Amino acid sequence: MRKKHKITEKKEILDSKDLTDNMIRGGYLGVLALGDIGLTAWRNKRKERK
Amino acid sequence: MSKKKVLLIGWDAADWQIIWPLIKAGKMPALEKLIKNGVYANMSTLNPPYSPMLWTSVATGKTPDKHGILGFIEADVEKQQIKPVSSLSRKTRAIWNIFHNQGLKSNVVGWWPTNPPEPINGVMVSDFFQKQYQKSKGFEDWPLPDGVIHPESFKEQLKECRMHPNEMSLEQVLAFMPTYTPQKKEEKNEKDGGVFTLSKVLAQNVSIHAAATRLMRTTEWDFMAVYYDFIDHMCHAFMKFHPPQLKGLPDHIFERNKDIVNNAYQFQDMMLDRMISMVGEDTNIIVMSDHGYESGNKRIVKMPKFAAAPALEHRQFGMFVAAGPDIKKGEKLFGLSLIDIAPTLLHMFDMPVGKDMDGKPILGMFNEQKKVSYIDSWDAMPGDFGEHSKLPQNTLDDEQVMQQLIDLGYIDKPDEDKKKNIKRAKCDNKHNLARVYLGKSDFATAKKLLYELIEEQDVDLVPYFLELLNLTVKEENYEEAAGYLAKLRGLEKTFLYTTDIVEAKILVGTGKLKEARVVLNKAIAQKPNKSALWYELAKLNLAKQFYKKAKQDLEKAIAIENDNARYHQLLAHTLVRLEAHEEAIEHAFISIELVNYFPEAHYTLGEALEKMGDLENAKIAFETAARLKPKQHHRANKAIENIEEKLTDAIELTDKVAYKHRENQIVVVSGLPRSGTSLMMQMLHQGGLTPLTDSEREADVSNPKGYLEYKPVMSIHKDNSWLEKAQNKVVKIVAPLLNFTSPAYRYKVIFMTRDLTEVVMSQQKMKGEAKTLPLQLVEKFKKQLQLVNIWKDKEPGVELIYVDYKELLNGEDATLLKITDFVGIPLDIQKMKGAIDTSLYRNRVTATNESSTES
Repeated sequence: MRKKHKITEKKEILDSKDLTDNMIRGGYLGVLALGDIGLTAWRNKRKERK
Repeated sequence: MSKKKVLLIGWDAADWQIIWPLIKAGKMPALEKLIKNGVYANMSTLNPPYSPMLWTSVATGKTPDKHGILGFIEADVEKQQIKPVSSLSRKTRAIWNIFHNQGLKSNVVGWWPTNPPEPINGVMVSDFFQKQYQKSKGFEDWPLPDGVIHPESFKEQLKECRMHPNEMSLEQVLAFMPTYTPQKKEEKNEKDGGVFTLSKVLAQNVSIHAAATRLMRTTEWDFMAVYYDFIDHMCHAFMKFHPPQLKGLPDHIFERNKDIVNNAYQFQDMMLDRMISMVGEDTNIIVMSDHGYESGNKRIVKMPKFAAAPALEHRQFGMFVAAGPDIKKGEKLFGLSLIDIAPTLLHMFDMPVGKDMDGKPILGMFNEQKKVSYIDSWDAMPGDFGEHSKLPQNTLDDEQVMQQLIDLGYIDKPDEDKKKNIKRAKCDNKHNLARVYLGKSDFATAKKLLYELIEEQDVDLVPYFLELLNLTVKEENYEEAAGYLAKLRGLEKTFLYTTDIVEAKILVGTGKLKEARVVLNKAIAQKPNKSALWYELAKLNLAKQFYKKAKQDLEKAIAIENDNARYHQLLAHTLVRLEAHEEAIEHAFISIELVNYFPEAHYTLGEALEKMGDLENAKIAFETAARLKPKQHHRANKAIENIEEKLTDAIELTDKVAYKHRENQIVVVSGLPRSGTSLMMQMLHQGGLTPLTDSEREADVSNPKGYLEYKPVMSIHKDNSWLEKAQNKVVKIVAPLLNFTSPAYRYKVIFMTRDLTEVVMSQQKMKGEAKTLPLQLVEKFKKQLQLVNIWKDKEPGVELIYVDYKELLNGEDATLLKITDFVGIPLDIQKMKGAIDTSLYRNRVTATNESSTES
């Protein structure tokens, strides 16, 4: 059985306000590492901010 | 191995030298998890180490002369242009073609080179998917051309998985280089400080990752292969900034960029973490690279200007990790090559391996050992293999892929003269093919190609002459080599290539040792950090039998480059000559661990083990050397003969004694099973010595007076701490276990001897087996006695006398006095005699079926 990924588990990453987080883990890179779901979520978030 | 799933992840250029420190610091937890739950290994690359050639070898199990991908680009004679290599250039079926034929579904993402994508059962996202920018400004205006994905129906949903470099925020890039501030004065003139390169490489790999995760989530698959060039491209761009700081690199640039490579590995690990989270327990995962990347002293500060020069920083060893339901746990594997992957995948899916494949299944990684099945060739099989039925229209923009290759330094910018470009591409690929043959030690074919190349006009002949120079030195054809060296120096007035080493080799080969030494010393004075120079100097010193100097040279070479198998092998060889055998064994092992396919290292290991008296293992090492050598390994064969003679010749057993009592001595009664050891124990016990026994093994029909044994002896190879209790006592230890005694104590060993035929027959009878004499067992026992004899001579704390069983039964005073004198304690000889019961000596060759005290 394939595990179902829950984007909500990574909510803290998506809500991170510290975009210049120097830590390689987390920040918006963490979102990109999630693959297609992360990329879509990041694009949506960016649209909201605009 | 039932039908399970396999996820194969390619990390171009990933290297253990970067990975291990990151794992140690807890910064690559996903890979660490796989290593802990699976197997890991060095992955040996092929020559030349160019990615399109290597990843095609991974996918086909064949070397480039067979698969036909011979570089980054190729000539399109019809269109009179050069173009990136494509799936159409491949001459043999890839693993996904075979899986298609066998009814498996494969998803292949970004694999190099897979454009145009093949119509396989599953989805193929070609390596052009993430590189097609079509002069677009950003994601909103970024069409995905046809012909990049099979089937086309996936085009729409995968289109949005691409990330455009212009989408990348500065903050995302800054995560890799946190101290970068474009406002700083000293950085204003430095273009963009690598920001664009980073964002482009990152965007392309995020695109691959997003497409792969989309397919993992939304499709059914049996096999999935995903290729990332992230680490390779980041290393090409930023390895020069990685610690330790290279000479001449300004501090502020070093500070800004020093963590980029490590951060790239961490991001790759984050992507792996996501992949692992998406597969179930039925999936075997393989993560591997095609080569490593120099991160220390061998980094090239100023890259020479010739095609594919950046590949000079590729290291011989990449990495390999596998974990999953079929994979062993916690083991390191040895001797892996890129060509082994396809045969391994076929074996995992219970399919036969093509006999025309150059690789072999990595059987050591599997829990279950299954016999490998073979067919002559998958290429000869009729049927549907998901291949192109007609040449697809190439609608794509090769230009952008070409530009990327130019940016990375893999190819030169094409000339205005198209014919010149085509000629150069053809020559480069022929040169690469020659290097493939060189790697396969097919010198004749390589030479033929190189001879053709040096006749070419209007191309740079230097690389071909260099190759011929190295080839002829390998062949020990020093006269021809000297000619090429002279030719090269004539071709280039300001000669840019390092030829010190090859010049020294020619001088050594022609007996001019003094001149060779002058050349090497001069080169070392200029480049003391070049390990190869120290290695050559060591060889020179070895030739003169200056072993101590050779040792020092090799230690310097290893200090500079500690994972070079040749250096460790030669140091082991030198240490054997210096009689430092244990140290020699250590270096021989390091060498073999680095390159298993290294007959000389196995031979040296054999030499060292033989000197240490470990004849059995020495023989195995010599046999391995002989097996690995493509031609007959005469020295190894002779060494095996010598060992066999030593082991099987008539054994001359000599006592090693000092007739005096040693403080806290341990008296050991030993011998082969059924050679009278129990009788000797009983006699010593009666005579006044205290036996170390737990009486666990009770008297029986074979030994009615009891065995006087101590159970922990049986596991002495795991734990010998109990020997402390044996001090001032007598304990029985059978011959094969003597080697595991601790050197911390002094031993007085009374070793029982008996006609070997009688020993074997007695054992056979005790086991209730046939009365025929197994000759092999007799030979084995002979070897055992020889090993004890060598052990006795080698161990300073061991004294040993041989006592013949028959003489003991006769109870002669001389025999008993010899024993008491040896033990050094007054024993009651009469009581010792009383323990003898001659009626129990039943297993003479003519014996009847009765019991005895012979064990």
